[in-house]
Formats: sequence, C-alpha cells, structure tokens
Amino acid sequence: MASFRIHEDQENAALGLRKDADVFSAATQRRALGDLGQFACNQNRNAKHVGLGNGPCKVQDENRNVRQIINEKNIVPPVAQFRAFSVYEDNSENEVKKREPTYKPFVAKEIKKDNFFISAAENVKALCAQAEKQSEKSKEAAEVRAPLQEKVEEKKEHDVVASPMSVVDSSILSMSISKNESQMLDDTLDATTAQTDKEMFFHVAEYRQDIYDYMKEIEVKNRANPRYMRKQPDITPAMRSILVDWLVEVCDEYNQQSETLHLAVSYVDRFLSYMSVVRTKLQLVGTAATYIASKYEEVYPPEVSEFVYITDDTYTKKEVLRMEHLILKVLSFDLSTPTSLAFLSNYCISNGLSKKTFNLAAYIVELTLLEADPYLQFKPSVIAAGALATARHCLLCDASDCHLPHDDQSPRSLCADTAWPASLVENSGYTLRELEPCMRELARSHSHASLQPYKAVPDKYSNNKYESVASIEPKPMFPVRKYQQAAPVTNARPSETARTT
Amino acid sequence: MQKYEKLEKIGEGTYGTVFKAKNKENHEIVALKRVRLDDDDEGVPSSALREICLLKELKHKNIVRLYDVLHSEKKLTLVFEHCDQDLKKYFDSLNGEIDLDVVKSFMYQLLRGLAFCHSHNVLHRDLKPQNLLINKNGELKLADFGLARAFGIPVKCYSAEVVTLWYRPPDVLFGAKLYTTSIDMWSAGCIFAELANSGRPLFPGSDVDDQLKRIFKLLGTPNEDTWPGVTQLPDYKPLPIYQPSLGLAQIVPRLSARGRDLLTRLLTCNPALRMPADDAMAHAYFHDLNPSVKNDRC
Repeated sequence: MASFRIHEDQENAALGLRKDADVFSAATQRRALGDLGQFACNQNRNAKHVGLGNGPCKVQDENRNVRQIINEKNIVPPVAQFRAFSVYEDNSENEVKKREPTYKPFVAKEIKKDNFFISAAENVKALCAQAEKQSEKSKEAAEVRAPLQEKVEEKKEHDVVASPMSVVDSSILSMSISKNESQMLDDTLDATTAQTDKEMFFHVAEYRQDIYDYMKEIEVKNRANPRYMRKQPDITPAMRSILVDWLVEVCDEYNQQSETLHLAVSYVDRFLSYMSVVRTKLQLVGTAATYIASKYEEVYPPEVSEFVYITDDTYTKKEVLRMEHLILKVLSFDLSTPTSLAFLSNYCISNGLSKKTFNLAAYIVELTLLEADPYLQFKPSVIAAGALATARHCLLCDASDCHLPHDDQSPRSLCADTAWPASLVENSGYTLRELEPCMRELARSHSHASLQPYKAVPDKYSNNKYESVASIEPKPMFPVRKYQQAAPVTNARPSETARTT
Repeated sequence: MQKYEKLEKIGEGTYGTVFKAKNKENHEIVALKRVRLDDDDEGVPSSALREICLLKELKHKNIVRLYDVLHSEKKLTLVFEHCDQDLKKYFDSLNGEIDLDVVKSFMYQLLRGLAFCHSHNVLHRDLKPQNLLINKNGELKLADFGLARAFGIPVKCYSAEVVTLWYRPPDVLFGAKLYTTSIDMWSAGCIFAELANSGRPLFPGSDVDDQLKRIFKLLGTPNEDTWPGVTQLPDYKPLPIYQPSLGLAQIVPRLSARGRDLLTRLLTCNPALRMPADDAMAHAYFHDLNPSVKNDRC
C-alpha cells in the first residue's frame, strides 16, 4: 500500500467534526455541495492547516452551482466541456437561504460515540471487521434469500440462450481463434484470422475506431483528483481499499457486470474529490454509487432495498436515495465515462486476442481499483494498455530472467516485443515506454495480489468463469520489491512527522 | 421552478410529462420534462438517468439539446430546447403529399443524428416519428432518449423490450438481446418509408406476430440461408413462408429507384447485413441533396 499522508491538523479537525456532529440531523435533510474552492486552495499545504483545522465542514453556500464550482482553479475540471450546463437544486427555499451557511458535514450520529483519539489501527480494524461482517452478510443474502436467488438464476437463464445471436459475454470475447486457444497460447495477434460477418457485427467494426477516438477524447474529462485523499479529513486509503474490496463482492454477488463495478468506483473517487466524507458515511457513498452505476449499466438493476440490505441496514432507503441525489448533483450527471475495462475490451477485440489474455488483464485492471494511489494518476486507457501488456508478458514470454533486476532499467527487448508488439502500439497509440511508469506499478500489484489483505478481487478471478486467472503465476517484467505489510498506523492516520514537515 | 413559466402541456415522454415553458430571464421558450420522485420509489429512474448523462454528451445539430437539470427532493426537471412540432404532428398537418426534397432532407438529418449517436457509442432504441422533432427551419432532431443506452465493445446482452412495435426490427421481435447499432437502422428504414408516404406507417402491426407477418409479406420470410442463426433466436417461431414481394415500387411509389435501393438496405432482416448510418449518408440517393442541408454541420 503506497503511502498517502494526510497533512492536516487531525486533532482540530476531529474537534471540528464533533462540534458539527450536533447539526447532523439537519445535514441529512439539506445536502450541499462541498467547496472545491477549499480543496483548491488547500493544494497549498500550509493553507490547509488552517482550512481543515476549522473542520472539513466549512461554511458553504449551497446555491453555488456546479458551474461555479468547477470554475475554481487548481482542480481537475470534471466537466470542462459542459461549463454552460448546470445541475442545481430545484428548491425555492434556497432562494431565501442563499446567504446562510448551509454546508453540513456528513457526520453520522454514531460519530459522537467514536473516539477520535483511539489508535488508528483500532479504527481500521473495526472498519475491517464491519466490512467483513457485511460481506458475510451479503454472501448470506444470496444463500438465504430465496427470492433473490431465483431472480439471479432467472436472469442467468435469460442470458444464456443457446443462440449464436445471443452469446453471453464470455463467448463474445472468444473469437474464432480462441477455440483452439490451448494450442494458441502464443496469442499471436492473428489479425488475419477471418472474422465472420456476425463477429464483426457484434464487435461493431463499423464504428470501433470512431468510438475508440471518442473514448480517448472523453477519458481526460470527468477524472478524479489523484490527490484527493490528502484532503479528506477522516478517511484513509486503507478505508477506501476496504470499501472497494466490499464493492467487488457486492457486484459479484449480485451478478453485476464488472463494468458496473468500475463505474461505481470511479463515481466514488470523483465524489470524494469534491466532498469531505466521514468514515461512517463512506460505505453509504459506495453503496449509492453502485446503485447509480447499476441503473446506468445493468439491464436489471437491483432495487434500492437490496442495496439497503447489503449494508446490513446500516443506512435507510431514504439515506441511500439522498446520497444518490447528492452524488448525481456533484458529478453533475456525467455518468457516461470510459473505464479501463472498456478500453481493455476494445484492445482485445480489435486485435483478436484470446479470452484468457482478456481475463488476466481484466483481473490486473480490477486490482488497480484497490489503490487510488498510484492508479488515479493514470488515464484509464493507459491502465488498460499496461495491464494488457503485463498479462501478455505473463502468458507469453519465454525468457527466464525477465523478473530479475538488471542494470539497464528498460525491459529486455524479448519481453518488450512479446508484451507489446507493434500492432498493439499502433492500435492503442501507446509505446511501451509510455506505459512503463504504469506497468512498474502493475507488476507490483499483480505480484503482490495474493499477499495483500484485500481478497475479493483474487477470489473473484479464481472462479472458472474467469478461467481462474488469479492463480496464474505473475511474471513481472520489472523488478518488484518484496511485499511489505502496509503499516496501518502510518498509513491510516496522518503521522505526527507528516505534520512537522 | 420559478425560473420557468409553464405555458402548456405538450405530451408524455417515455417517463414524465412534457411542458412548454418560458425562461423568465431571457424569455426563451423551452420544453420541460418533469419526472416525479417518490420517496417509496427507486430514486431517479434509470431512463431519466441515462437520458440526462447521454444527452449531455451528445451535442449535435440533429439531436435535441438538454440545457439544464433541476433536481429536487420531489421531482426532476429536464430543460430541453423547444421545437415546434414532432414528425407525427408534421404529417398530420400536411395538406396532400409531402415534398420529396423534404423527405430527403429529413432522412439525411435523421441519419446524421444517428451516425453521431452510434459513433459516440449510444443506441437510441426508440426511433419513431413522435420522437423526431422538427423546427421552423426544417431541422430535424432526435429526441426522447429515455430508452437509449451506451453500448460497449463487444456489445453485451441488453433488454429485448425496446422500440415501439411498428419500428422494431425482426431480430428484436424474435427476442434477440444482443444487438447493436443496427437496431436503430431498421427504425430509420421504417421512418424513411413513412416519410415517402406522407405519414402512412409502413408496418402498423397489432402484436408481435402480426408485426412479423407484415414485415415478411413484404421482404420474404427469412431462413437459415438468408439469415444464419435466425432459428436460434430466443423467441423464434416458424411463420408462414412468404416470398419477397419485390413490390417496393408499389409500397413507396413516389420514391426514386435510388431511394428504394437505400430503403431495401435499411429494411434488411439480417441485422448483420443492415446498412449502418454513415454508409447510408453516403448512398447515391443523397447525391443530389441540397448542399445547404449536407454542409450544415453541427
């Protein structure tokens, strides 16, 4: 786990939170946009002490609309092309209360009980335990609750119709070449392999290049701030990882598309780039984001009551719906965003790669969701390309010593040619050198996947459905340092040393 | 809602009611689509959610513009550009036959809007005259994206319960859940014929069976030779064998030979062989299109 450090005065922030906890009941009714301006000016670490010292719950003007907020300097503009577009509260009362400070923090009632001065490790442990409990619960959900089970089964049946016109995604990805996949482990990008009309058709050959160009164009918009966690007063990278780990299980349990998971995590990160959220509401953000992603992506999105259920009734339906409302507002409804999985799919289809390559790369891509740092700094298309190269190297490279550190920092040419041949360079528009910073991280994440504490992704990809790609021995192209258990104390809480720097 | 003064009800969309309204600040006429949000409900309906986020991305002359979203506890209001009428009302207001240049212009604009959607990985999935808006300048705009969705590559299984019956392609009538941009091209074909016939629907079926029969009477009943895989579709059922009637000249008598050729390519039962929008725009039928329409880019 990389080291995210939070540099604010935690003690004061905590006091601020507690003070503001009193007004929580009002906060649940009146949600407001977080002040990006505060985030922006807090880019300066010194200024931040002051800002956050007064609490993350600074006075905000609810009537600032999204447009005003995105115009704040120093922030990744989420909707640069839609400056003229505003989503705002349709609430006449706002007119009256315009000048009134209305921002209330997401402070749960429970927070009063929380002792902010207990050791960080304990906090994280508690959150872990909570998440674990809930994931067990969600597992139970599918087993115990017959109606749900039926629903899921039924959906499966619908999907798996024995028609060539209605192939399910597993078979869509397998091109004609993948039938003799075992012999074709070299995965030779056999572009000459004849594609039938039907395959071309479902791969949308006609518009694929247009769509790829368009995806590249819009992936740079609507991005999370890679450094948002530094500005979050109460949550930590570890808590985010726990949340993502739980969301992976939830999506898997409810048979949702991996795409839905990717979208949900991207909504969470974008939301957290703008809003300060306390730890007790983090799961609510994740739940509502997943609910939104399901509505956007799934044919049969689970009902809101299902989402309430999976949180073990930690939140009410009303809270989930209100959080949905707030997320939509903060993201200004910009939900249509290309994920690294969508890019990966595109690369694999365009180059006729095997299903196994796709699954392994999809596994690596999904592992990146667990770590906001470093992966939020990379564009989705870069992560997808890097994961694909990593997967190809892992499956195809014959060299025996590629994992050993060598003097020359660049990868051996055999490795490079195997992982990222000219055809992929051309198709993706990325050279291996451009992908290298991301690939160094991916080599580490993939190698450490079985050692790190978040098991939902490896578990999911141990399933036959994904050809058990999680059990494939990683073959890093770059030297990977030995796995070290992330020290939760320094990671989870801002350290005193950080403050003195 | 004080910013807008409601003038009159225009109609009902896929979800929610549509009103004509005036922006009190700049007196601009807009269309408001209002969706009630009930506390016992599921929050923002996925149709509204998709319509908003997809339309925000689709800025094109031939696609209705979404200006604003007003979001409150109780309701969600979408603020759209206002157009004078939809194609259905335009048909109703015709005195006699439609001008064939207008047919060509409308069809081209429909295809251009569609090509834009498809190259931005969006399927409309509910094309019909009521959802095509016409303004005073003779501009046509795709509207009502309540059934639209973004598609991935490769496409995944989507809902088969899409597209109004008369404009629904045979593959979807047979229950296909895996479809792509071709779904909209069939509807475009139906609309093309309807345009050429001054508003007489081409296949006004009463139910799925009747719909399929009407289609196959004109185009011939497909089989595994003409459409490999057709018998494997989820809801496939053997229907009477009709031979292609080749009677397109009688069906759309006013359409030129080139126009009939384009129509045939759009009304192709096998979705894999149906002509895509950008190819259709390049079809010979449009060679003599008024340059002011053709060059009128977004």
